[in-house]
Amino acid sequence: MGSLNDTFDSTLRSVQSAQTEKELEDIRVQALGRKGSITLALRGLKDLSPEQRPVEGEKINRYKKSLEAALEQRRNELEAGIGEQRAALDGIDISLPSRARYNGSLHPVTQALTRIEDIFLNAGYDVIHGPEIEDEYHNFEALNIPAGHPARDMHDTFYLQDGQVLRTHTSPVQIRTMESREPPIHIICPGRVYRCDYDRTHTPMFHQVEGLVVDRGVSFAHLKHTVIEFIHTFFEESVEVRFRPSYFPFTEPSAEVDVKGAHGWSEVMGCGMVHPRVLSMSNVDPEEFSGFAFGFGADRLAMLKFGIRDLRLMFENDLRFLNQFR
Amino acid sequence: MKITTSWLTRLIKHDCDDAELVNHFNSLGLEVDAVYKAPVPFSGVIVGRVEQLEAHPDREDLLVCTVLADSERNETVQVVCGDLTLKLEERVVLAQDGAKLPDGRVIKKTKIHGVESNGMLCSGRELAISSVHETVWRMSSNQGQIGECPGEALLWNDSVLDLDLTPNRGDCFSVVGLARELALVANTDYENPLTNDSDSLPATHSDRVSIEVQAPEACPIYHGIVVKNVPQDTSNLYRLRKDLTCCGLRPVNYVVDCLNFELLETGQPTHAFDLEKVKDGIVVRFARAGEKILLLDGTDVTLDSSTLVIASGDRPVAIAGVMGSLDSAVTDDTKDILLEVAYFTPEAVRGTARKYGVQSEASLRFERGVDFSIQSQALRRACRRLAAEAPSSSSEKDNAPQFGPVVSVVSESHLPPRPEIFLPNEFPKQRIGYALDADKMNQMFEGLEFSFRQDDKGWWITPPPHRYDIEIAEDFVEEICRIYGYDNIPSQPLQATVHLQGSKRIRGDSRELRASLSALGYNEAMTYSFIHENANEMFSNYKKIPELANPISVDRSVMRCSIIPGLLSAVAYNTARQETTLRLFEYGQCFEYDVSGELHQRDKVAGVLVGTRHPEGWASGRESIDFYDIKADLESLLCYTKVDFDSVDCKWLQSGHSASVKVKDQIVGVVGRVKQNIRHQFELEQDVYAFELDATLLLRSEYASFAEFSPFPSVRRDLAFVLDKSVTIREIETVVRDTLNSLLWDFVVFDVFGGSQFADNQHSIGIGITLRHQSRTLQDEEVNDLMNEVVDKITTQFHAKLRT
Repeated sequence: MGSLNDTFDSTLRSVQSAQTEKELEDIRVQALGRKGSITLALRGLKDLSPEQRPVEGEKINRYKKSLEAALEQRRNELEAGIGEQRAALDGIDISLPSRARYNGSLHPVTQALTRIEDIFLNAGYDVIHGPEIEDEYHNFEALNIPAGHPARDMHDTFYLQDGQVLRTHTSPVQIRTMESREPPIHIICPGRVYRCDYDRTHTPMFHQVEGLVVDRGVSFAHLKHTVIEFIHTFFEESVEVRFRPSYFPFTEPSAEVDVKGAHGWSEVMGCGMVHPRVLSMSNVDPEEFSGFAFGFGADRLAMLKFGIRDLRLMFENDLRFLNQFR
Repeated sequence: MKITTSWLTRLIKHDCDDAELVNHFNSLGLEVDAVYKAPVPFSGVIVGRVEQLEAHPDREDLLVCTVLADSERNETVQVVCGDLTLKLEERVVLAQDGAKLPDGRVIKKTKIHGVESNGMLCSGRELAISSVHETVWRMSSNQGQIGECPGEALLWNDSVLDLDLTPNRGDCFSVVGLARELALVANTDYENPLTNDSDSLPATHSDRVSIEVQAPEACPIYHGIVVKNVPQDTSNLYRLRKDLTCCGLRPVNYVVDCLNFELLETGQPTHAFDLEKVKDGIVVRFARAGEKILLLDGTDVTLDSSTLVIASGDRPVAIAGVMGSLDSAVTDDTKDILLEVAYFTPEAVRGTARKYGVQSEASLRFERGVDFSIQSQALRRACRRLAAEAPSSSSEKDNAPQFGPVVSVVSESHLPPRPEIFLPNEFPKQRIGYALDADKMNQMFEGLEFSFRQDDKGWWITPPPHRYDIEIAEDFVEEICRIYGYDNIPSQPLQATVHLQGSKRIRGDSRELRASLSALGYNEAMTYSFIHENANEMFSNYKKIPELANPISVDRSVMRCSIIPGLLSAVAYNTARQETTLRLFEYGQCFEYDVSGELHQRDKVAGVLVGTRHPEGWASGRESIDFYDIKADLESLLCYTKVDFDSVDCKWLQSGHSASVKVKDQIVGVVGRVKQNIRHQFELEQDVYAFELDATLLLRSEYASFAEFSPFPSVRRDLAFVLDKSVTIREIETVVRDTLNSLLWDFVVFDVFGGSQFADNQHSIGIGITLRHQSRTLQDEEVNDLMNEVVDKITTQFHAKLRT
């Protein structure tokens, strides 16, 4: 029976290498057809001795099943291959433009603001908004800028006919928060602010983010760390940061913050320790609590981040500009 | 404040290069805006060498010189010159054709007594570098190159620092003040010309002008001195004028220039009156309302009663600390003057200059606070300066200025108080977050000229009279940090208690609205919050408008009540740049007074659509957008809630093509086609669709609650009717909904069309109805019965015909 064994092995090999349905059918007839080798072998069982018969019978049946399975598998493989070939023959032009949609975009200032808000939200700060038309008390007096103070000259304020002002910074939101909340306070206040000024780096409307932390034992060293960490996080690199003494009526000590870029230092932020008079005016006891505050232009950070040279572009809403920020 | 580095280094006895100075000032909080080379006050002027000298054919007092102007090309220039001492090979300063001299003269080619002169050899005075005019200026052999500008080689090898000083640092508006600061960080001393000047000034005549101070609270110190025979010859002022010019002050005349120089050096403003005009005595008082004064810059001013003036006789001759009158001013011919050296309080001067629109060097300093301990010394120095700058010939006795006795009115009790301030030992460390050595702090206080004593609890510090910004312990902290260097203070992470918190806004906040609209194909715009008054009127429902008192332009004079006008302008801007399809949105605050006059500031979100539905392509046509596009956008935007549309009467939307937007039966905004006349105002030719919603009404703060859904199969039936166009889909849907109740799973309109097969006012609509039972499979017969009922109701109620 060795010959059947050899025949079976070579039949299996020819199944696996068959390239057409026709070849497969010929193999099937040769092995399993009426005069096929396996059919004949099964028929020959009756001539064997009763001891040999079941052993040989089981073996031949095993060959038969294996061969049938192999034929089936190869037939499927061939079919699939033919389908692929056919599909490939009537393929489409994938370079034909799609059924396109219009794609929108978020304004670069929004993108910068979102990033800024996330950085502080992740650290446990709250994001607080406030009115853009403010009373003079919240925009100036409560920030230690009484009427006639020379610091009001630094602000180029827009006034309404009824004496209210367009807020010149988002600091009034800090005042409103201190008036309504007990420390500890960790907030940032983003929003539109207004100053009468117009050139390449100034527009009469821009966006500011102010931050305020009030708690026990808050120090200048904490402020420095917060500001530096924020700048590094926002720009995603360890840009060089410099603190310069400055003057704001609502902070003491006060500082301006510069970052070093390709074109030298550029000013990005003002900050300082909250002036005790500002705390006490808003019913926070300066003996018990101290705090720091910082403020910066979100438009300015967006300009640095996206490489925009002219601030006025931000508010022209030219589609050629907006579409670059998808 | 502009200052030359040479002036500074004269006082600090220490050589700093420009970069070092900039760093020092920046680290002290005295921001340097710019550093630049001292501007040379002439142009077209070069170094030349005398190559040839000949006598003038007609005149004995003139020479004809040939001057080498370019040694490489061997170019020479012929000039006629009157300096007979000139020798061959001497290096001179040649003003070429077209040159501009410091006094404004322009040199032109000319003929002098028949001989061509193509330029001029300059004297020291013509170059504003000496008083000598008789001979031309000679350059030494190591000064400058032939053909190059001699500016730097002469007097202008100097830099100008432009400092942007903060309003709290009035003490730094002087060379002395800046030198004092610089000495703190440059480890050097500085020379204060005021404290070094203690000699008294001997009076050489006895003329005086009476002084009466009626408002000592505004003017605690007033010194006056009559100076007779003041020099007028300015030829010796060249150095002083160079400093003045570099610092941004225009040379005027002998007296004014000397006093301005002292002002810049010491920070103490002074004023000189023509003695003739103040003979009746000086009265310092508040103005009488309506009094007039013509100031020396030509401004005609009507005074109010809060303005402090210097009066003489019955007329004001100066606004105190701001500017004198034209009439009493010192002119080039004035011989005798009254010199005023006074201390006016910041409160007395603050706002005055701005009120009358006249800023001056004096008002700048007085309103920030002038050192009130220096007036006597400043007066002596000013007098000495008036004597010192006269040309040497006139300093002989009979020509020298004559000083009279000083008349002083001083009210010590009205000087600004300088109370002792307590600085507890532990305070600096607490506020800075870093401990500095006490000895180091003592050194700082000394350098700052603070007087202080120490006990076991801390320091008791009295700020000096030149500092107006030191009031509380925190101010010392700033001084300490500033001098130690902000950058040298180590930073330290903030520690806080961790609180867990979640947002209460579940859906519909600004971030989600923005993200959704941008995903729907809208570009986010940011338009100015102030708009044209007319634009506001087109959109506002109220009479009272939030109008700016000082708008930046007429176009931006009113705070917007709506975002739409801004967006329409943005559409027009882009349309003018060949962008015809636009989807823009904006989120931001809008402002409106209601009928009761109360101001409302609310966040709104608005969008506009113009152009085509899809980008142009092979698959989709060029269909224009219509109402149903913008309606779809709103449904997507608000898909987290139930949104409804109802007819609306809106000021800026076309009726019949617009709707109110309702969320849970509350109107949250409007949507539709912008009225033609409004779109024309914005010069828009295309149809514009727009929506505007009150964003505060779109927030959802509660979570969705899950309802079990039916696992049983649904059944869909389609119906088509011919009916009047006036029947709305809403009416039909209502009938279907009322008939099927909870069995109705879905209702769609799959077809709407009219045409010649129908009457003019009729069309066909196809609706698809999907039914599903909550707890069992629906049977065919019951669905058929229900459909029959629906058909019956629709055909009878709306006179519709079922199409089969």
